[in-house]
Amino acid sequence: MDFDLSIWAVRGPYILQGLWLTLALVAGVLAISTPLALAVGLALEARSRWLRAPATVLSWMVRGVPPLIILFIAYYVLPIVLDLRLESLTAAIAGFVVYNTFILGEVVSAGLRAVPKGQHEAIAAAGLPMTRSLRRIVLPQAMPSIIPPYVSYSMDMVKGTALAGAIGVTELVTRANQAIVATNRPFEILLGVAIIYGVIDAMLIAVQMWSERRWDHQGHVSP
Amino acid sequence: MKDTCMTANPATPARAHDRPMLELVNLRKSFGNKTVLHGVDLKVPAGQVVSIIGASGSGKSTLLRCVNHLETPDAGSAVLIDGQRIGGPDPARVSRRDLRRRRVEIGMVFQHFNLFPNMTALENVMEAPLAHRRGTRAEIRDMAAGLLDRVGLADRMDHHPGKLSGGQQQRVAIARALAMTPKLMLFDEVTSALDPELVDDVLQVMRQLAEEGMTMLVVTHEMAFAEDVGDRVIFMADGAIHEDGTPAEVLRNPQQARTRSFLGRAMRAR
Repeated sequence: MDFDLSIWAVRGPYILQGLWLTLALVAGVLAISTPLALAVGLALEARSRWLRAPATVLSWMVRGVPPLIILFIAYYVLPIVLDLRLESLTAAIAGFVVYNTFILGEVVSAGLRAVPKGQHEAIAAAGLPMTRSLRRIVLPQAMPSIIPPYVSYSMDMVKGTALAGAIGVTELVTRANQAIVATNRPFEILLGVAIIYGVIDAMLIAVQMWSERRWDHQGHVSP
Repeated sequence: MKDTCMTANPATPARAHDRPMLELVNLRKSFGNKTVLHGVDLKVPAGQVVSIIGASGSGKSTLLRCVNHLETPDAGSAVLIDGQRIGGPDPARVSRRDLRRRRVEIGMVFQHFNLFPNMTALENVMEAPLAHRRGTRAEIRDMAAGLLDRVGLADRMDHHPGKLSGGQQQRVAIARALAMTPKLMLFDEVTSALDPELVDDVLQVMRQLAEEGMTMLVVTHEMAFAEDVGDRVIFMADGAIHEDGTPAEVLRNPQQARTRSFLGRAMRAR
């Protein structure tokens, strides 16, 4: 078997355009689903059953459905229900946002549960307002529990964006596949794609390590 | 001396005014089928230091936690702070906003300190006054620094709780509870989690507070503190007040066999 990486000189620019699409998809989905996940996490831990019950049922339903099915629903069903045409990228973002919101919502919920009961009692005894104490006391202490699984699920999501090819988003893997069909050079192309995913994961791990240092195990917020 | 399970008159005369600073009326609390408080009545005049003693499970901590509604008392109970009732006939229906406003009047110090670990000692003390807008940031900072100085921690203001000893953390917790200038202070076994050599510094701060006229409800196993500093000692068993009187009366000359038995065990354990 001959091994010729020069194929990347020819097909690289086309494949890398898919990388930008993948990164845009990841950034868009994380930017939207992170605040929504915070809301879902809070709802899952809410005292009011009117918040907790629907959040729990929705979370259970969404997490039980394969993400590919959610993408298909976003691409094929939503346009019928809402009577509008969704671009494949918009549908992919919508589908991944729904899925990740509930996956990450559970991560936030678990992080909030990890904050000792005594902290909530101290907050209550001092009559501290909920929003402020959440921002200044509870979330900083929940962060060490939230960050590792959050980054881990984000890494899964980066790899999962390949599914968007199924609804016509020409992201990294889709373009790589097109290049393989055109060149019959699967080994060189897939090796390159694997390295690209590895670099993205390494960057996310670096973000995780930086975040863990910022919120160390005692919940200290570094200046 | 009173030796009934219910109504307890103050063992010392009110120092400030006739209206009790704290009044508990028919305080009942159940957890599921288990009744923990059986309708406790208690009046505490302003400035009085009440030590609550009793075996584990006697209901003394639950009593304390019902005062600021960390545990919601059962329907029919009433908690009055300085004559103002918290909530209506059903304590469970008190609004969260009203509860927050009333809790500010009550300082609480916990057995395990419960300091906010992500904040320095100074930030811990400043947090509630800042949240309740009790002045400018500079004013609140000065006040908090003054409180930490008062509890002997002027040189530890910028330390996080993780860098402080248990005794120091507990003194920060006392300063934090005092930051909202409460009318009443609750102490829930605040020395139980401390190494013996750290207990005295905390008790000294509490002694100083008592001398300054703070109304205090102190759940404690420190009989010496109850005897030296307290104006009044209450012995609880099975969710009711069994003996109530001056420290000399309850600790030196208990009328009930249960009190004598408890004190005997407590003295042997010292």
